[in-house]
Amino acid sequence: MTSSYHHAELEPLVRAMLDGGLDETQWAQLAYLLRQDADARAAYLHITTLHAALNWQAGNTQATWPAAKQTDAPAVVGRLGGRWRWAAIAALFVVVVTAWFVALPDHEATRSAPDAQDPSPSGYAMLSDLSSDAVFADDSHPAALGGDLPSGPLRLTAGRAQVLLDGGAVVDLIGPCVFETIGPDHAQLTSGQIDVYVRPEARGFTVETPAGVRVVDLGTRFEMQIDPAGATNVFVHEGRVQVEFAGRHEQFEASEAVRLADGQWMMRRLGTGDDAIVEHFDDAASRGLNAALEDHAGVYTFTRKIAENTGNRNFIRTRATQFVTMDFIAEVTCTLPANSAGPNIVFFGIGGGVPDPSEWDNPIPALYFEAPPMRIEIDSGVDREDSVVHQFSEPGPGRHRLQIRKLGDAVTFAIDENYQGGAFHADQACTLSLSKAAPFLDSTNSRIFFGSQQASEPSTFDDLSIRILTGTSSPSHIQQEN
Amino acid sequence: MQPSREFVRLLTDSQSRLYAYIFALVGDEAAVSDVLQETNLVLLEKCDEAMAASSFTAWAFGVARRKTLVHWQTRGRERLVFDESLLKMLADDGACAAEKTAGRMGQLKRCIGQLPDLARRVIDARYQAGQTVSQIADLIGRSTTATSQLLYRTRLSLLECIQAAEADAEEERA
Repeated sequence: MTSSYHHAELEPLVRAMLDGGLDETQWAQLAYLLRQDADARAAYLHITTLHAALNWQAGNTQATWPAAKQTDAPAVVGRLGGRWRWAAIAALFVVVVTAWFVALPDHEATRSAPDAQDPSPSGYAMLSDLSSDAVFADDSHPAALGGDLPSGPLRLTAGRAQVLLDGGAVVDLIGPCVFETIGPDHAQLTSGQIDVYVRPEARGFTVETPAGVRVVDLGTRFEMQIDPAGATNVFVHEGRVQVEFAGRHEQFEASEAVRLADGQWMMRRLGTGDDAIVEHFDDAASRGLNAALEDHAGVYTFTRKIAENTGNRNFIRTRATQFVTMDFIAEVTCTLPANSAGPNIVFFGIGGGVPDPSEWDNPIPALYFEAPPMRIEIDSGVDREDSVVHQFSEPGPGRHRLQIRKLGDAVTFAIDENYQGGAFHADQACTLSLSKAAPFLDSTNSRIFFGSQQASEPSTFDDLSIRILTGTSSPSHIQQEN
Repeated sequence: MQPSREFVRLLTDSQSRLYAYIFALVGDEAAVSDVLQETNLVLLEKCDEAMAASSFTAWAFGVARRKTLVHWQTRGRERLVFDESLLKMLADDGACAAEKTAGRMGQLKRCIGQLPDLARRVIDARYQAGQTVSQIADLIGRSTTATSQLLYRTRLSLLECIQAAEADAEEERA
């Protein structure tokens, strides 16, 4: 006898889902079937609910409940991305519930009025995530995680927050940042940096700036920042956006960027490859380093398909010295061991890429990442002490991808923490005026460099990429049409 | 913002239903506990509002649905197979199905007890021992495909058994 819950098309998909895992094609097939067929939806819900009940009954899925008394709820809310985030949320759940259990009054509380409203979005967006180090200016602290954003600007002074707009856009705010939602698909960026993702069907999301820049999403992922000089910088990672400014509008595609200031458009496009410097170190041990790079003191080995120092602190650097005159995106992945100390310190920056013997062999003259602790430092030359320009929240040991991006006078240092591969997604970022922060850099001493020193458990580097942003008078699709 | 004992009881009692509901909307065991934790976090932080809602469960399902949408929108950003419109289709009926979960646990246990030996072994291996289909196939000496089919049909048998028990109970009440 055929079960009333049987559905021939559904069966192989649900079997795969419950007992093995669906591939991309099967997910799409399942979604299509569930959209089109009410019987399939009903059967799907019955079977998945039964599966969940069986799992629950077997004790495979117990929620995390308080295990020990603790009265101080931590500031930790959760890290964006990856396992750290979920671990932190789970930890918070345990601790907060415990704190509340401990604080429970002896009497039974009574329920509130039954005619109160069920929750429904009252604003234009909800706060969908926060990093552990997120800090808001007091008067702009949003509702709790999952709550609707209040009206008015959201002033994130540090860390990272994610906002889900009712129109479907997902906006990551990278502090310090002032951002305001002014409609379900409309927002204003007053300062700082945002990373925006809008799925194709939610296109039309618009961000404006006080300087009169308007960016209309056409189904894409893009970054937008207002730098210290007040310029608006837009980088398109996927899809296309329309930018409107000073009575003109242009569309930009993936790998294109534009800097807008004083009524001027400065358009850039990532080089196609000839001018890029890419070194994965996979066969550098046998064929030598990429010809565009040099191991300044010959102390690096690549036998493990990564770059690791076997001698004193020194640097691998570009042969080209004029990066201060160019726009570029430079990235390298560094792995910091658990027991980090002096020898494990890593450097990645723009500058001379030579060690300063009078100061721990730190790089000079340079503006650079240094970790741990993760920070931006500056050192103008021999016998001049280095100084911290910006201190990041500590990402801790692990594999992190570091990025230095220059567009005009704006130089952004960004970190993709616990990097798993793929496109770079900034967890933290700091943008500086290059001319103000490092006026000593010029066309003779501005290389891209990285380095560390020998250690029993060394920090290592992998997958260096330096891509040039070339100037263009118009976006690529306009040129193609011509 | 301090939760009452009643809030804690409602939150505890809702866990199996929320788990079932989120699983139906997420379809991925690895992700469901993450979404459940996120949902619980919101429920805890907004316990006053939760208690003021006319139905705690409906409120909790509302939060879970929203967290599920965020999960789909932020997961593998290049694709969104369960989008808002599909989640909407699944959500109301899914809430109804999940709502029944807690009440069905007793019947489910009885129905498992009534299964033929082989089917019972397969269910126990899959859920109690947490074995994979290929491990179970080795255990019972059948092919992976045949074992997967047996497991699936046993689930359908359990649904039929629960439905029949509910119909009997309904008849008795009438």
